[in-house]
Amino acid sequence: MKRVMHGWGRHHRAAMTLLRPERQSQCASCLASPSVLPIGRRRSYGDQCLNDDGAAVLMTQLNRFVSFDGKSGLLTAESGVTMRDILRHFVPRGFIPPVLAGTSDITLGGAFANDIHGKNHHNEGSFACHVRQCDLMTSDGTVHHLHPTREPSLWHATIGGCGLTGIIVRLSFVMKKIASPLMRVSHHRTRSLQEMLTWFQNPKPHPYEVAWFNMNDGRGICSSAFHERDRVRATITPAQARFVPMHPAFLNATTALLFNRLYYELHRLKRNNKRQSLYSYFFPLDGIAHWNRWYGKHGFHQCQLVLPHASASHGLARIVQLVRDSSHVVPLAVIKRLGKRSSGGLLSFPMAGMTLAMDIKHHRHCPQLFRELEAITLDHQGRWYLAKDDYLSPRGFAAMYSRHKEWLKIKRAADPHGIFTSTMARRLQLT
Amino acid sequence: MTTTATHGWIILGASSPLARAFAFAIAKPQQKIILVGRDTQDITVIGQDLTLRTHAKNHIITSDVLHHDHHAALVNQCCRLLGKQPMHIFCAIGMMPSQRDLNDDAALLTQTLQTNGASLIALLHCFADALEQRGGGSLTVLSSVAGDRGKPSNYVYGAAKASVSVYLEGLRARLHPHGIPVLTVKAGPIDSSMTWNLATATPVAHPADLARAIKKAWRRKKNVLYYPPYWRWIMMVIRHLPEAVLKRIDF
Repeated sequence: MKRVMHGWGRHHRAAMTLLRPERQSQCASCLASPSVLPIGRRRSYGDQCLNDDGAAVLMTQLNRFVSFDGKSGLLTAESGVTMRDILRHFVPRGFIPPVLAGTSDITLGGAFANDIHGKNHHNEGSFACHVRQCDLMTSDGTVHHLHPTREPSLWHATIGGCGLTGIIVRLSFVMKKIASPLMRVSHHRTRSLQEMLTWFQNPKPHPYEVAWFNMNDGRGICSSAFHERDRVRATITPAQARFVPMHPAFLNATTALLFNRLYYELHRLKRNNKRQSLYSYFFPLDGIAHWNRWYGKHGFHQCQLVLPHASASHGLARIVQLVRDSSHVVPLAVIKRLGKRSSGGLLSFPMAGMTLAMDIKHHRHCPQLFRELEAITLDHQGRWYLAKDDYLSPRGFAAMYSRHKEWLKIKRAADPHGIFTSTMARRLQLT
Repeated sequence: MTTTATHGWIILGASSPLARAFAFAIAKPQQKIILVGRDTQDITVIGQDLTLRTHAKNHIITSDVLHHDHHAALVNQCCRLLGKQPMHIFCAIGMMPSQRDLNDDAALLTQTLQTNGASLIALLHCFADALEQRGGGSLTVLSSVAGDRGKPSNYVYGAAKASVSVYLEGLRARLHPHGIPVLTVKAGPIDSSMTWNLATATPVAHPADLARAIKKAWRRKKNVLYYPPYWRWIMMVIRHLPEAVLKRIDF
C-alpha cells in the first residue's frame, strides 16, 4: 500500500511504501526492497525524508530506552525514541539531551543523521559530538557497532549522512545534567543586522543564544539564556499541543510584516532575566499542532545557511537585501552563531560562522530565489543545511560540502547496491 | 482489586505493542512483571525500557507457545518467581497472516491455528491449573471480534480466535467458584504490525487506549470487553444475522 507523504514544509509530496518494523529483528526484512530510506518523525522540511516510488522504513516503533547511567549521564536508546519522550522521563531526574533543536518531536536517529545543532552550538557543538556509539544496520543486514575509533570512516559518514549509509538502530549519548527545569532568559533589542552581529561577537557567559530577525526592517531581538542554577523542585510539563486553524490567505506579506513589527514592539514590555520553562524556551512552536498547515496547500520552504565569520556580515546583508527586494513572504527568520567544535561528520552542516534560517512561503518564483541564494552562499564560502533543503543543485552541493567525494566512497562500500536512497539523494547525486 | 506492588503480572506475548502498552498501564515501582516471548533480544529491551521508565522489576523468559513440552516448565518458573504473590496473567499471543497467504500455504495455516488456538489453549490450561491451585489471581486474554462470526477475509484467524473465546467461556465458569476472574478482550483492529499496511474498514485502535480500557475492565472484573466499545453493538447485530444473509456480505 503506497502512501503519499510530505516533509514538514509540505511542498514536496511523494508516494512511498511505508514499512514499520516493531523490533530490531524485523529491520533486516525491510532491506529486501531495492530502494529504502529510514525515516523518523519527518520533521525535516524538504525532500530529505521522502523516497518517491520507493520504500521508507518508519523507525518510530523502535522507541525503547535500553540503559541509563545516572552518574555519567550515558543514555542508550533505540533510534525511534523522540526528544520529547526523553525530556518527559529525564527532566524530572535532572537530565536533558545536550543538544536540542527547535522542536522536541524528532527522533534520535534523525538527530544523528542530520547532526542537529541547537542554541548552544558555540559552546557544546552539534548532537553527534555527544554520541558515543551508534548501531548501524547496513544494506546486508549486519549491525555495525560504530564508534569514533572503531570503523571511523563509516562513523563519520553516518553523522549527518541523512540515513543513506544504513538504518540507525540504536544510539548511546551523554546527557547533560541540569539543576532546574527552568531557564533564565534575557533579551536585547537590536536595530540593524550589523548591531545584531556585534551582539553575537561580544563574549557572554550564557550557554544559549539566538536571535529573531525581521527581514523587512533589519530589527531584531537577541536572547540569551542559561539553566536556572538553584535546585528547584518544579515539575514542568510541556504544554498540550493545540491546532489553531488559520486560512492560508491570512499568511501574506502584509500580515508577516505586521506580525514582525508587533513582535518587536511587544518585546518592550517583556521583563529581562525572566524565568521560563525549558519547554517554552526551546520549543516555542511545539504548543501549536500542525502549524505548517498555515502555509496552505503548496507549503513552504525553510532555508538555513551558514556563512563563515569573515564573510558573514557582507553575505547576510546581501541575502537580506535580496529577500527584501523580492515579493516573497518570509514570516520568520532566525540568526544564530555556530562554534568551532565539530563532530567530524563528512556531511555535517555546522561550521564556525553565522547561520540564518528563514521560512519562505512557497511561490512559483521560489526556484529563482533559491538559485540566487545559492549563488550568494557560494560566493561567501557558506553552505546549506540538507535537512531544510528543497532546491540545492548538485553543483552547489559539491561546492558546499567539500568532503562529499570521500563520503560517497564510504557509502558505496557500505551499500554496494545503492539500496539506501531518497528523493534528495537522487537530486544531489548522492547515490 | 487494585494494582499494588504485592501483585505479580505475567505478560505472555510480550513483544506485541498491546502487551507492552498493558505492561506500562499496570507497572508500578517494585512491581514484579514477568515478560514471556519468543524474541529474547526484543523482550530484553522491552524489560529494560519498562524498568527505566516505571522502576518495575521485570524478569524475562524466552518461550514459544508452540513448544508444548515447555508449557509446564514455564508455569512452574512463573509460580516460583512470584512466590506467594497473587498471579495475574495477561496474554496477547497471536499472529495474523493474510487469508491469501493462508490459502497458499498449508504449513502457515496450521501454525496460525496452533499459535492463536490449540497451543495457546494448552498453555492457558496449564496456567488455569496453577491459578486454581493457588486459589487467586486473574486471567486476561486477547481474543478478537473476528472470533464472533466468520468472514471471508480472515476466517482461519477467526476460527482460532473463536476457539479461544469459547474456551475462556468455559474456563470462566470453572474458575468462578474460586473467585478468579477471566476477562476475554474482543478487540477490533489494533495499531500493530498485524494491521499495518492493511486497509481496515474501521479505524485502528491505539494500543495504549486499549490497554487502559483493559485495565479498567480487569479492575471491575468484567467478563467480556469489546474495544472500541461500539464493536459490542456491531457484533450484536452480526451475531444475529442469519447465514443466508451473512454469506452474501463481508462485514
